Amino acid sequence: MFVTHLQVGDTVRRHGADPVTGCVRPGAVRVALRDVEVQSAKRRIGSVPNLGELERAVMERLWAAPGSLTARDVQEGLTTNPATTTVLTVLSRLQRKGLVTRERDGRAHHYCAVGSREDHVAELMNVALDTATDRSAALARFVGSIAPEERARLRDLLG
Amino acid sequence: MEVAALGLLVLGVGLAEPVSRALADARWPARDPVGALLVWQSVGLVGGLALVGACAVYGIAPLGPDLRSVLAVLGADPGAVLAVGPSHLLGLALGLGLVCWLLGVTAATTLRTLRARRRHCDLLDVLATPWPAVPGTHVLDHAAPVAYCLPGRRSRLVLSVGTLRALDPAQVVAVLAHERAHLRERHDLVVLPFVAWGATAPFVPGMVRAQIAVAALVEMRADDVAAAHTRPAELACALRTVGGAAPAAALGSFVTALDRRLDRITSPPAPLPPPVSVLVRLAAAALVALPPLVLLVP
Repeated sequence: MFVTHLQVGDTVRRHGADPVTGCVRPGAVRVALRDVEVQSAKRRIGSVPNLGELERAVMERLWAAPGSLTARDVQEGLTTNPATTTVLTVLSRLQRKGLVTRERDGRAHHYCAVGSREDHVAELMNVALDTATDRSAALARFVGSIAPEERARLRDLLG
Repeated sequence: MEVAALGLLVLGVGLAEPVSRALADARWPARDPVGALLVWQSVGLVGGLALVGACAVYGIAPLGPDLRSVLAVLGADPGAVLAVGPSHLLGLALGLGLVCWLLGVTAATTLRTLRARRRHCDLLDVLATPWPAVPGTHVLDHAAPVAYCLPGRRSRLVLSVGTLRALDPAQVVAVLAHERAHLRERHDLVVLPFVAWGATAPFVPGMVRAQIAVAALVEMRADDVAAAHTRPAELACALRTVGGAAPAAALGSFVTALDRRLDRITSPPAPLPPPVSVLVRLAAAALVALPPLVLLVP
């Protein structure tokens, strides 16, 4: 729906064309179209609710897994049935954010969550509670605007 | 010119210590948080400018009797600045160092804040569930009652499950109105320079008091905005639930400060009379005009 011809051409060349013959594999076109839709939606509304939901779903899947997972494992566990390229995009975004690590094992990449869900919730709550604690007011209600050592110093100064 | 330098020095030191202290201890700011915030902004700005200006003016003083003649000398031959003698060169170096320090500390604080916010936002994206009932609000699955806002381009309002359990719907609306006021009026930017400068001069208690006073005023302002949309009793009760969850609630001083703030919501002090409130804003503006006046009046 949001696709323009130029974008379809671009994406197909990137993902789907056979490098030798230049022919387009049929499955790849579907994948590419889906990607273009995601990208167009991103341009259209600034942020992609689907991508956020997908990130959450992928993290839930990784947290629930006992060990590391391949992108295919992740994809199979998702109920929304996203394209492989989309799952790879989400995994690399999560990797960039430091929430996921990737290890190469032979030909396959294995993905693993950095820290448990509980660890991360605890990190958020620590920041949130600390911000609500400042004596005269929520001095650092604005997350991160004050370093721990400054906070300690303030406490000392104010007794 | 030396007299002007001395005047600026007195102004800068006066604002950094006795004036900041008096303003932090004053009672009227609770009656007009916005006016007090304006005064604080100009105290911060003028304090910094005056100290830097004092060093710079002392440095160039030997070049002429007033600013215009000095600028004429420097315009003709910028190298003349090296001929001012060692003590004046030291003044120039001190001024330059102070500028770099103030700007550097502000930039470092900004960067650190942005980095921490991005990390927080990334974590929220995968941990908190968007709350369909209130767009822009995210719910974090934790039993402790917290409610806060994450300012910035990707601003968020965050409530914990504990908050939704502890508060009734009207109270949730009240807390959200308070947090939304922080976001809409960009209180994070109002506080930022004071956080940075408090870090610059931790040895000046006045600066640290300034930081705390500004943070308190910003909370009062958000209380005022929220109280206009909700019932004050509900707001105070909700804020107590959310604020009382913090570990520091065990500290007597924290609870006293919170109590005083919440009392202000349920029995608000009379606002400053309109003429006084206008006077406060005029004083804030006049303060900004003071350093140029010191320089221009011979």
